[in-house]
Amino acid sequence: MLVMLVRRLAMVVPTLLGVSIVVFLLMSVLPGDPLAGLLAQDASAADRAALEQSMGLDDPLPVRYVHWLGDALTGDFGYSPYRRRDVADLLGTAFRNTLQLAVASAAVGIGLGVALGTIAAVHRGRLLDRLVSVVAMTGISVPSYWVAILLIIVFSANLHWLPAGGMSSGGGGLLDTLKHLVMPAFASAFVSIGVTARMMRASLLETYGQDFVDTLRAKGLTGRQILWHVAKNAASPVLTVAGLQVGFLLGGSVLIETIFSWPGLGQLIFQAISARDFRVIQAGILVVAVTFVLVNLVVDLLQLVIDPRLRKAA
Amino acid sequence: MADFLKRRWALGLQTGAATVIGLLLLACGASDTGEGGAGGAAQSESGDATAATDQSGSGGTLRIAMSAGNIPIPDQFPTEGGEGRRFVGVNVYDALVNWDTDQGDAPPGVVPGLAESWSRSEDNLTWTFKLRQGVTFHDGTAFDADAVMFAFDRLMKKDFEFYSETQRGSGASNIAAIASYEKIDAQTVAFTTNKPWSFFLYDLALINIPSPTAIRTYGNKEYPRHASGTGPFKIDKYVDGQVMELVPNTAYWGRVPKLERLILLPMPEPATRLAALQSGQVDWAEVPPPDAIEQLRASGYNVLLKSYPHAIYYGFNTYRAPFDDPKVRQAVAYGIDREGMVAIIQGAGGPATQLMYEGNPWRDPTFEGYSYDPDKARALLAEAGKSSGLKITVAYPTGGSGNMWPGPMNEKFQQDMRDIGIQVDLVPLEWNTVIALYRAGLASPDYSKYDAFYFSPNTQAPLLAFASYLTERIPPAGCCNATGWSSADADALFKQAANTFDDAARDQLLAQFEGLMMRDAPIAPVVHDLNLRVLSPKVRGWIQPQSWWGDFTSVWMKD
Repeated sequence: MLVMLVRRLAMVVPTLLGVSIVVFLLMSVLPGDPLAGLLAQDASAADRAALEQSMGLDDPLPVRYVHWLGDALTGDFGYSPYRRRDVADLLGTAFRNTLQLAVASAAVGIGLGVALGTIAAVHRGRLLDRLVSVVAMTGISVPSYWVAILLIIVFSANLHWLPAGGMSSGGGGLLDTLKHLVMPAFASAFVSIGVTARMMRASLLETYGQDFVDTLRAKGLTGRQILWHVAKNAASPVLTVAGLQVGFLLGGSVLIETIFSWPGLGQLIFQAISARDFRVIQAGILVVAVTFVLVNLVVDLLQLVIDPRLRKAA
Repeated sequence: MADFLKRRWALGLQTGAATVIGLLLLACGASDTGEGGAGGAAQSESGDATAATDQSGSGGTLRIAMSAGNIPIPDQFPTEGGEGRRFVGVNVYDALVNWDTDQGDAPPGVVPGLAESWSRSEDNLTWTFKLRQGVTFHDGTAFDADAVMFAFDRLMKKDFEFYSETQRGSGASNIAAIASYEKIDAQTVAFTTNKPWSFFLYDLALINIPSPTAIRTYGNKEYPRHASGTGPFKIDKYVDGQVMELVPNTAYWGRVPKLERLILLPMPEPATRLAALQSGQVDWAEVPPPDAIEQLRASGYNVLLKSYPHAIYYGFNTYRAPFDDPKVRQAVAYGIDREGMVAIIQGAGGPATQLMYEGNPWRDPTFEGYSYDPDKARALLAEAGKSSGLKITVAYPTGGSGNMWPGPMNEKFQQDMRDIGIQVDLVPLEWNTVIALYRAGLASPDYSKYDAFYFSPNTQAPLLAFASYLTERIPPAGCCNATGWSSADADALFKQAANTFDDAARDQLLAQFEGLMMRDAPIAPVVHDLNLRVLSPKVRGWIQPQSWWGDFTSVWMKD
């Protein structure tokens, strides 16, 4: 198991290196102007050149990459002239904000997904199963930004129950934050509910069909006891899917964060791309990549913990 | 100060979402008719005329949903373009001269700010400013001539410890005319320009004076977290990306704000701003989706629309055919159905027949401008030998409040052009790329493939308005005459205006410049943005100015 852990962690390095090179190259071929937001409307060519030099943008691309990589390896992601803050600081704040949203979304999405999937599997072929299928298909099919807009119309514009956006309306405090969190969390959880419910249902049904379930029945276990055994055996694929969902959520959703003015990682990277703020883009994408890899690693480890067959194979 | 950047994070997806929600809200809510502005002078509309003049109370907390994606960073030149200056710049800082935005009847000129008076040398090159006494920064330190020197050293003196390349970049055009500056005594400073420059006060009005002590204490990098100006509001709370709360500077030398608190929230998505206003989360929303205007009016909100120096236009590639021929350019200008365009955006803009709107002193009254006349357009095309088969490629930005609603507006343009026999290939570009095009010009290899581009500059000051039509500003030597249009007569007129120190006479020369330029049509104006914002009826005392920024000191909230 330790060997696998080391091997997996070692694979992270080339992945991240590859990601950073691809992002760097993409940024260099993307049309646009990294100084557009910093220069006056009619700034002269000399002003432009001076600013370019001060930001190190006049170096050739490979030199810039090597500089960036060298600094990044020492934990220095540089300074964002657009946001007037250190990139590490910016990413830290944005990641915390996204984490809040992701944890809430994951709790709602995966929690409801597992519950609905289980209900559907237990009531296979009956009305409840069909209802869950409809809900799950809706979750998968309806774009999250659409759900977000509907939620805003209903709960903010019409009912006036919840604030339409932001993390705070100036009040502060836990209740204020929670009120701002509810709609974005539900909107981004919608897909997770659908995906998890379908996977849970399919996995449970597949496991119900296995021989050991007949044995359990023959031993006289109750339906609930059987479900417990089945669920443990069915958990592995659900865990994989849930891990992917958490990975996506932690990467920050551009659409949800923009619609709800949630200052998370997705919004930060999106704004950085619009401004061609390459240091934030580079570091931001790396954070997303690292998060994704680590979440998947954690999922793999969890699977080893719950499934002895996998432990043997490892 | 990149004022033309405004809020542009909102890309196509946001515009799409805005349209969707606008339609939905229309479906949900009642609709009523409201009166748009009338022609003749500047267009304006205030739902409740008494709200602006009501000075019967004071106090309250005003919460504003900005279209900015972030809280403007409160440095000497705040970020987030026009909104940065509107909500943070003019509230937190003063300049040596300020804008008189406490009136909406005329485009604001400059009035005494931190300088209470000034004089000019006989050769018109040296300007001497007498500074206001007894003014303190929000950090409690005194404002004096040293603070002015510090502010300009920060922008102009490269070996100065607190020189800032980013701040210089933001203020580059405002300091371009300054040859030297000096402290005469503790209350007097002098500036010498490198040529006679009658626009100098407009330049100075855009240069904020920050607290030298705050910058020395925290350094350039950390200063924005401790920003300190002399303005009517001071920063009480600032959370990057989330919220800024301003409170009155009770020691302000001018009118102390009536509000108890001013809260700024970034909401780049128009639909979210609209819902935030309707739910009571905010009292003021910048540029909500135009589809919701009628509904908001019917619900008793104050829908404010007023002309201000901000036009949308198509800039032509005059370097090559077909737009090297003025007749073809004029044909396009006559072929645009501006009223139709205005209808598409629900009256959030007014038809632009010149770059400057009616009522602006720089509009040329002797030129009637470009009205919709497809027959004339076809005739001009025939004269130019382009009656049929003309195909053009037009670049346009995909979104952004300052660009209005470019998707539907450009589709309307495409349709109008088809009617006069021009086939338009529309190329959507990210806003950042359109700015790059504007800077590099249409002769640059990257952008020479475009025949025209859609743009929306700030035209509040003479240089902002007209630099794009001067020969010396053709890239790469200068910035940013993107169309490459050149006229010795126009160059001479501008120089003459810069050398004319009587305001009325200078404005007349600028109007002549406008007329000369518009007749030859390096650009085809489309609509004047009417600065759409919607206020709750509780907001009192806000005077919608003919300006990108305004005066918050008279605003208060009714219970």
